[in-house]
Amino acid sequence: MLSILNRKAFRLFLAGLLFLSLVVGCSPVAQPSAGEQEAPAPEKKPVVVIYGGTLWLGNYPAMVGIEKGFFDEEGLIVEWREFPTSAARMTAMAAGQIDFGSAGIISVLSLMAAGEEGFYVIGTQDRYVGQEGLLSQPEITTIEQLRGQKIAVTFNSSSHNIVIDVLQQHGLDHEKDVELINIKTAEMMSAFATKQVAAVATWVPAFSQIKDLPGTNVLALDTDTTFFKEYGVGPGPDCLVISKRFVDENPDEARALMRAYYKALKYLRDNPDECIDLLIEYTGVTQEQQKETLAHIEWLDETEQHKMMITPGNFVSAMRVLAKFLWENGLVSGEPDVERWVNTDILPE
Amino acid sequence: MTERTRLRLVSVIAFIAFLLVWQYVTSQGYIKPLFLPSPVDIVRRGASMFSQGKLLVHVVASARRVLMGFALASVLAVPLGIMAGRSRTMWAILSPFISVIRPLPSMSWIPLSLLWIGIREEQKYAIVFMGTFALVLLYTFEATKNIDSIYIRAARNLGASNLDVMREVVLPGSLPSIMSGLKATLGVSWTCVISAELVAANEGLGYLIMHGKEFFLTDQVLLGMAMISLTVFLIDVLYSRLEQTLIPWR
Repeated sequence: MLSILNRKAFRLFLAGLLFLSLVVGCSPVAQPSAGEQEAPAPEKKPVVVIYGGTLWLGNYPAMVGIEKGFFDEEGLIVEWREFPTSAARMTAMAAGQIDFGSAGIISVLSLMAAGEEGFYVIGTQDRYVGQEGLLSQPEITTIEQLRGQKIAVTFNSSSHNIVIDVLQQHGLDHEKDVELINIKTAEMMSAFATKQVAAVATWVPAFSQIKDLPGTNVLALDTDTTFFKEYGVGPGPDCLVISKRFVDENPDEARALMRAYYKALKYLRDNPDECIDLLIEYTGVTQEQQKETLAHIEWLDETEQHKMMITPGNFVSAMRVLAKFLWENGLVSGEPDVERWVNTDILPE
Repeated sequence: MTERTRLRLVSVIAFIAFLLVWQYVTSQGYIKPLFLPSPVDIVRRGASMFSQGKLLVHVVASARRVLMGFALASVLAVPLGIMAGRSRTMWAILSPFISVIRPLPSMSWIPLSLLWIGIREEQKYAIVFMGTFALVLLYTFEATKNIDSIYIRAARNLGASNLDVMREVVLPGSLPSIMSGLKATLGVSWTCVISAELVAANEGLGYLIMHGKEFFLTDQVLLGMAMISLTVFLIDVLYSRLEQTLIPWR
C-alpha cells in the first residue's frame, strides 16, 4: 500500500512540475511585445507597431495614418489588428499583443483598477457628443417617471454611466428604483419597439434609429451628465493607450509614432471628404453615412492634448472622477490613482 | 483501507497538490493575478460576495434556469423519444425535425428567442430547452429502441397488453439508459444557460463570468466557473440518489 502511495506521490510530483513549467512557460510576462520582436537592429530596420483597433470612429486617425503613409514617413510600420470590444483590446494590451491603440475609458480604468501597469494613457483623440443618450416610450416624459420601470442598457458602457449619473441627478438609485436590463446595442431596437422596456440608453446608430420612432422622448443626452458639465468630457470617451514596454524601449520611435498620428488626425480633420473612401474600406458604411459620422466629430490635435492632459488637464480630472464613479458603484474592485498611468512625455510639442 | 477509499484518497491528494502548486506559482509572482489569480484570491472573492448575499443570487438564478429549461425539455422529449423508439412512423415524423435542431448551438437561438419571447425570464428557459430537447429525445429514442425484442415477444405471448408491455418491459428496460442520457444532457444544459445569460441578464453565473471579463476581474471569472462546477457536482450527487431510488436493480 505504502509503495503504491509513494509511486502515486512521485507521479503527482511529476505532474506538479509539468504544470509549473507549463504555466511559467505560458505566462504572458514572458511574452515579448510585437515592438520588441522587431527591436531595431544595428542597420536601423523599421520598427513594427501593432495597433489594436476597431471600426469605431476613435480609430479613424490610425486608419488614415496607415493608408496615407504618415507612419511610413517616420520609419514605422503600423500593423492593424481588430478587436471587437475595448475590453478585448485592453486584454491584448495587457498580454503584450499590441503596442498602441484606442479604447473606451471604462475598459482602460477597469484594467487600471485590476492593477495592470504595463501601459500608459497618452491622450484623448476625439470628442463625439450628442449622439448618445436616454430615450423613453411616448408615455414617459420625465426621468422621475422611470421609477419602477425597466431600462435597457449595455452594461459597462458609456451609456451605462449616463443612466447611473442621470438617475442620481434626479434622486433615483439605479439598483433600487429602476430595473436595468443588460442588452447589446443590436437588440435595443426590438426591445424598445416591442415595449418590453420603458427606456433605452444607447449610442448611434441605435440611438438615431430609436429616436426616430414616432413618439420617442429624449430624456437625457451625454451632455447632461456631470462628467460633461464639469469637464467637457463624455461619460465614456475614447483614449489612446500605448505599451509601457514599447515606450521605455523605443522612446524615439514612440515620439515619431505620435508625430505621425497627429499628422493623420489633422489631415482627417482638415480634409474629411478626401478620407471618406479610405475610411469606408474599413467601416463598410455608405459614403453618406460616413460623411454624416465625420460631421459630428471634434478632433483633438496636439495643442488640445496639452490642454486635456496637462494644463488644465480636464481629461485627467475626468478620468479621476470616472474611476471614483466606477468604484463607488461597485463596478470595479478598486479606485486607481490614474495619474500613475498618464504619460505626456511623448506628446509632440 | 479498501480500494474505494484508497482511490478517493488519491483523488483528494491530487486535487490538493494541484491547488498548492497553483497557489505557489501565483503567490510567487510567476503569473500576474490579472491572468491567473491564486486560489486564495478566488476564495476571498467568493466569501466577500457570499457575505453580501450576491453569490447565492447568481447560483440560484442559473440553477433555476437550468432546471426549468431542462425539466420542460425532459417532460416533452422523453415521452416522444419512447414513442419514436417503439413506432417507426413516429420516428419518421420526428427525425427530420431532430436532424435540423440537433446541430444548432444554443447561442444561435438567442436572436429568435428575443424576438419571439422578449427579454423575460422565459427566454432563458427557452434557450436551455432548445439546447437540450433534441438530445434528450435522441437518448430516449436509442434507449427504447435497443430493448431486445425477445422480451417484448415473450410478454405478448404471456398475454400482455400494449400498456403492460410499456409498463413492465419497455420502461424498466430503457430507464437506466434514459437516466444516463438525462444526466449527460443536464451537463449540456449548463453550457446553454451560460449562452442564455449573455443577453438581457442581470444575474446568473454566466452574467457573473461575463461581468468579470469586462472589468478584468479574473478572480470573479474563475469564481463563476468554480461555482458552475460545484453546482453541477451537487446536482449530480442528488441525481445519483434519484437514480438509486428509481432503478434500484441497476
